[in-house]
Amino acid sequence: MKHESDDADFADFAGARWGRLLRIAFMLTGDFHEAEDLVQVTLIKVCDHWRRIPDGEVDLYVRRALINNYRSRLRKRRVVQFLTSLVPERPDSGHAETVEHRIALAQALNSLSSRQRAAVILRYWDDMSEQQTAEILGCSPNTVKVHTRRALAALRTHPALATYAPILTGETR
Amino acid sequence: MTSRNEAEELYRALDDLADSIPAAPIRMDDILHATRKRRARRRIAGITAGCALLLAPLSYLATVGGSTSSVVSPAASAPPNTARVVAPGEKITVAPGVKMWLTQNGKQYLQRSSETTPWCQTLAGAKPGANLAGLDSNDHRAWLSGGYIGNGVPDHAQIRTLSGTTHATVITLAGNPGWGAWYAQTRTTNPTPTDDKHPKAFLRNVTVYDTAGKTIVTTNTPPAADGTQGRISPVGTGESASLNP
Repeated sequence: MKHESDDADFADFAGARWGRLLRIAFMLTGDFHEAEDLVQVTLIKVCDHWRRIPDGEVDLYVRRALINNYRSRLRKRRVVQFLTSLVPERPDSGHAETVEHRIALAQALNSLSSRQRAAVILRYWDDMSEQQTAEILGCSPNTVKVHTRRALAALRTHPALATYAPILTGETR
Repeated sequence: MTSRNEAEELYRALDDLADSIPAAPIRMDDILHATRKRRARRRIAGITAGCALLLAPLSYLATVGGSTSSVVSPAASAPPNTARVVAPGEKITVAPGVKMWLTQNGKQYLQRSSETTPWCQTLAGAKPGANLAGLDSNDHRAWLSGGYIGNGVPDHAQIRTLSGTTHATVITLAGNPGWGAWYAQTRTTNPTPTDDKHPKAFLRNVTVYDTAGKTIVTTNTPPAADGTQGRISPVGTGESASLNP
């Protein structure tokens, strides 16, 4: 059965990329469970179209699908309301400084637009070129440059990151 | 321009953030199963559309020719069994990006994707009743979730909202603890519930039934005297269970 061999190929691919895609999704969404859902839904769609994806373009295709799903979710979302008064239960935290640093970075990323966030993550963490990032985001390389420049400028001046100089404060330039 | 040092610093900071996520194995069986369902749905949709095209002219001829055919009404269907027994801590998606789970110590948790700290209410040991805990909506659909307390083996639940009556899924822990949670999705009204000043007014009633069809608990949410806000009987204990915002 053709589908079965395709599914086996896809399973190999997905197993190898799962961790990296999950990390990209986590940085995009800022939430582990949301990231897991996002990658899961993306992989279901990729698996459905597996036969039609050209061999050399699978990695770009899956990233494009991930970003599109992420942006689509953002568009559909309205505010979630938990109607009961909220007294959150906070877990004990160790490694306070590291945790605070991560929270600060997550807050700063969250303040960017979805395209700026995607551009920064793809360019500076996922090691994609400007051309590849442009293909994933469906825009021109110049637009990618604009997104990353504005994103970096916003990160440098974000108050949450101000206490963590020299990262992105421009002091290393 | 970004200097090499700055790019490296950013990479390290992002890498540290990315590495902070817990290890999670890929659920390949779920992915392949969902893909097969998508393919099957597409095939069925194609076949149905083809059949409809073929049968449409025959149906038209039969009507024009004056032949009569009895219309078979669908049998009245019993409400589907929508109760699930879940494991403590098992996360259920109740709205896009919103997870719900129950714990052994009698709590219901809800967590939205943008927040790292979950919301919770204590259900075990509280007075019988049901409440609305979470409401999310877009232009077309609303996702509602809440808790209930009542003795009996839950089988299904029904909610009544401003846009009609719909079935809700009940989740509870093994061993019939006498409390659990429900969630449902329904059409939205215009304006949508979360646009509304008082979103609690969107839900009018929650009823949980047992396996014999008897009511375990039913809670009405009548509008307040000033006509502004529906109120549901409080079910929880402790500060986080109060329904007053």
